[in-house]
Amino acid sequence: MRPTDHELDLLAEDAAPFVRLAMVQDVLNLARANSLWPLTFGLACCAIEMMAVGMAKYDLDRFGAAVFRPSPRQADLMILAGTISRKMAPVIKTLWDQMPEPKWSIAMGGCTISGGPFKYPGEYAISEGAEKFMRVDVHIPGCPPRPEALIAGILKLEEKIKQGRRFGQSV
Amino acid sequence: MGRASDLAAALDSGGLTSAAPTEQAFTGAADSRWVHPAHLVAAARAAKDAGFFYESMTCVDRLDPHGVFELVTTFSTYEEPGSRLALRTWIPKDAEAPSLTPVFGIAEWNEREAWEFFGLRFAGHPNLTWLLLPEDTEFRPLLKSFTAPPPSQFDDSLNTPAPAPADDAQHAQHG
Repeated sequence: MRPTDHELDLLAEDAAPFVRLAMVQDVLNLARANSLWPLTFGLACCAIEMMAVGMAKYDLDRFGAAVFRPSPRQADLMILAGTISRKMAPVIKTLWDQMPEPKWSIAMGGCTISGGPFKYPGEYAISEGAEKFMRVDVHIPGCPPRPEALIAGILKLEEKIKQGRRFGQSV
Repeated sequence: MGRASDLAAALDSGGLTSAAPTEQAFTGAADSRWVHPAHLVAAARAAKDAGFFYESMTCVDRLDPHGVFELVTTFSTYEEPGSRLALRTWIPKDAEAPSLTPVFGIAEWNEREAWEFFGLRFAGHPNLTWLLLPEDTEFRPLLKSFTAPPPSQFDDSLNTPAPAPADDAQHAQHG
């Protein structure tokens, strides 16, 4: 005997999964967002502000993001802090490729966003922004940004990670 | 000023140099001398014998006279503050400059810099290669004729996006 439509609906409800992995992803994202491990490296003057954020006054540990790792294998956050020269760009690209997934990046300051004050016709030494060669999650404008701005950027990134958003996807 | 002028006078009497305009307020040099390229190494050796050290060397792409690089080599001494002597040399653009590395080893880096930014070759330099610019740079950015560099290999690398990470789709589903 052919089942009725109502019976088919009931069957479909029974066939729904008992385990919803999306919840596991949410928990994982919560853990990732609150234990960011940035890569220890600075490119120019923005790095000074980044170091200040790590110290006692601004205390990045409050947000779980101050465990600066000296190896790209252990890091999941790249804070691009400073001017990217054409000579340094391949090195940064290599470091970024060496970081294991999932990974995020922050472009800190005008230089890493667009070349900043070094963007002019005939510029031969400076790369016009990190997004020429890699993907960026959060842009922090400033020259250099205040430590509070970097903290705001990291909080924005944590918000993004919790929602499972990446790179071009906004919060 | 004392020691720099003494050295300049000694170089002049040796027939190595001749007086050049000295504007100390602008140049920071207590004395300034023209020197023929053929005499540059001898003059540097005399400066070293007089107790001076090699301070710096800079290159200028001159528009007047056209087709000439001006090398300004400065010497100084700790014995007397402000006693800086500048030696100025004109090198035609198609000629090689004499290298000062046999006299002052540190001249090596200044000469590498002049070579990579101006294309000026130095005869007798032990390692004439790039110092500050990437090692594959073909252009000479500080020449007056330079306009813009060719695009770098990274300039458009994001227009061909890398494959999305494996767990990206999972994130997007419930994100």
